[in-house]
Amino acid sequence: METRFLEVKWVGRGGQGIVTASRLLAEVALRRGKYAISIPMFGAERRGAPVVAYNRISDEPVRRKGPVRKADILVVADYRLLSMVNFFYEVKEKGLILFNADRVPPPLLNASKKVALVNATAIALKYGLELSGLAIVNAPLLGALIKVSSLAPLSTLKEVMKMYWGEEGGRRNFLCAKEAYEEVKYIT
Amino acid sequence: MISLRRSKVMKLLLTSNYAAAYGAKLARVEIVAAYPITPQTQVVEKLAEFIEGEELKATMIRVESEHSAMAACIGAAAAGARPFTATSSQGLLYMYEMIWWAAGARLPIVMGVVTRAIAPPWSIWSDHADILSIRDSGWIIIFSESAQEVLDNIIQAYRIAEHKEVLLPVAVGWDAFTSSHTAEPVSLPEQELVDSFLPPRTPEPFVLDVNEPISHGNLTYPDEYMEFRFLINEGLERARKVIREVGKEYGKLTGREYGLIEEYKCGDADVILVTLGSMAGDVKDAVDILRKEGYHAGLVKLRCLRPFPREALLNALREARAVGIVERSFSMGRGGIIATEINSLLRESGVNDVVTVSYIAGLGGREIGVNDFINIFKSLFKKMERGSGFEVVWYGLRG
Repeated sequence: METRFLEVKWVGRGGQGIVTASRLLAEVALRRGKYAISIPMFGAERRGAPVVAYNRISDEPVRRKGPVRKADILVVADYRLLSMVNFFYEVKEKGLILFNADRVPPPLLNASKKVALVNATAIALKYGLELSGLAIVNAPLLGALIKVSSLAPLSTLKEVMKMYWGEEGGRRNFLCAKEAYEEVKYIT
Repeated sequence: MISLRRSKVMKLLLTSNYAAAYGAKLARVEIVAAYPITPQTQVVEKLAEFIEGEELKATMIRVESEHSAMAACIGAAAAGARPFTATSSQGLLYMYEMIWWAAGARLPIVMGVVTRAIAPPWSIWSDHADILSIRDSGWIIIFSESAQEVLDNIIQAYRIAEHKEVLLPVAVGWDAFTSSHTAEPVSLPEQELVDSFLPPRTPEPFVLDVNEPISHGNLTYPDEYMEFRFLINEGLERARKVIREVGKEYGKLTGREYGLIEEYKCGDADVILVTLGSMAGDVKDAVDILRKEGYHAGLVKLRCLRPFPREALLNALREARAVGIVERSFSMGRGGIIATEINSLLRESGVNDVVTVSYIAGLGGREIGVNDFINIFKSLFKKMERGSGFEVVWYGLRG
């Protein structure tokens, strides 16, 4: 019915940087002259608990703030969450699922949706983006998302990361994002 | 006067909480006294950052409760300063005694209320029961749909509160999480422009001064008490005009004009939904979708709850055949708080050929979005055939 939005749903665990990822994506879109909002869903926040955030991106001002029920792109930061929520139902017919995993999770092998894979955890750990044993995967996932959505060039993401995390933090996060941008691949 | 449209506009991605802090900073508040509560905490955190970084010359009073937060604002305002506080839910209830004191003492305090459900059962999510609990206290109550409106409303709130014809505190509300934590693009007016719109407060003759001592809050005998209450109401009634004038002037400066209500495609509408806060954005999208299908649907967004926008509402609603009021609030044993007010407004004004339905929805953050509003509109298009009547519907209640 409505096609004027790009709607993104982020699913992950507390500590993986999901809410920040959604915020940065909105910043990227804003810098590309789009309107964008970032909607985090909060509960009793704690590390490891499931976390959800949304983005709506459009050429016109975004007025609706209700949650995204069917996303164009679903980003799953932890594939083990697949057993807890029916994510397939939450993706539009021609939507895309972007997965953080080192191999194809079995339930996705027969998926009718488009699926892209990136090992964001390995990339994050390689650059030391880790806190209390949990890999912070938002930077590589953003890199991969920029690639599959063609929303913006990598340079815009670089600017936004620098704004959020300063010179050194921005540089390290951007290296992660760039590597994920190059490595993300479609599996269906 | 400078026009913002011609000057440089900075657009930032801000949550409503941060927009509130920027609004208070641009209003050059002098005293911030607040106690943290989810989901308000970031408002005060950001203001503390501004003060620490010397971007805002204000004193942060660290209080041990919301009751003390409002007491500190009352003291500051009584001494002629410009205070700001923010709270939510249980915190607002905890400061309740002081809420009435602030209005009764005619003090121009501005307070952000991040509207959240009241416990038990415990909930941190969106609901309007908290802010509506101060409805009858004499506070002016203004509601915001977006982060932009939060910023704009806080700046305007000081002009309204400090207006000599008004002199009453103003509560500016926005929804828990749906607004408070959602980041949106916000145009930040330049300080210079806000300064030209909102000069420093000029204290009234009754402010406290150690050199000319007076005392506030003395015992009032039955011979005088009623007149004080009557005069509070007079101030609130006059505020209606002031809010409109201030909203118009703000519009000239920024391109964003504000009134008591916002009408969206009401002109030829058979069915109008009345709502407030973040839900209004979703209703606008629902109206546009339904209009493409040939439905004459419209929205009235309540910006101002107190003073009640009687004439504006009547003007917008009188030609409708059905009016649905969707609200996150309920008066136990009666119906939707805003719905019963609007229903009685219509009936007392002789508008009887209209169906009014009070929709209780989204309590405690229950999801409600565009598709729900389309459902509500479509059911109202059926109900309007009844011609008249009033009904209460709990929308989305699990069986």
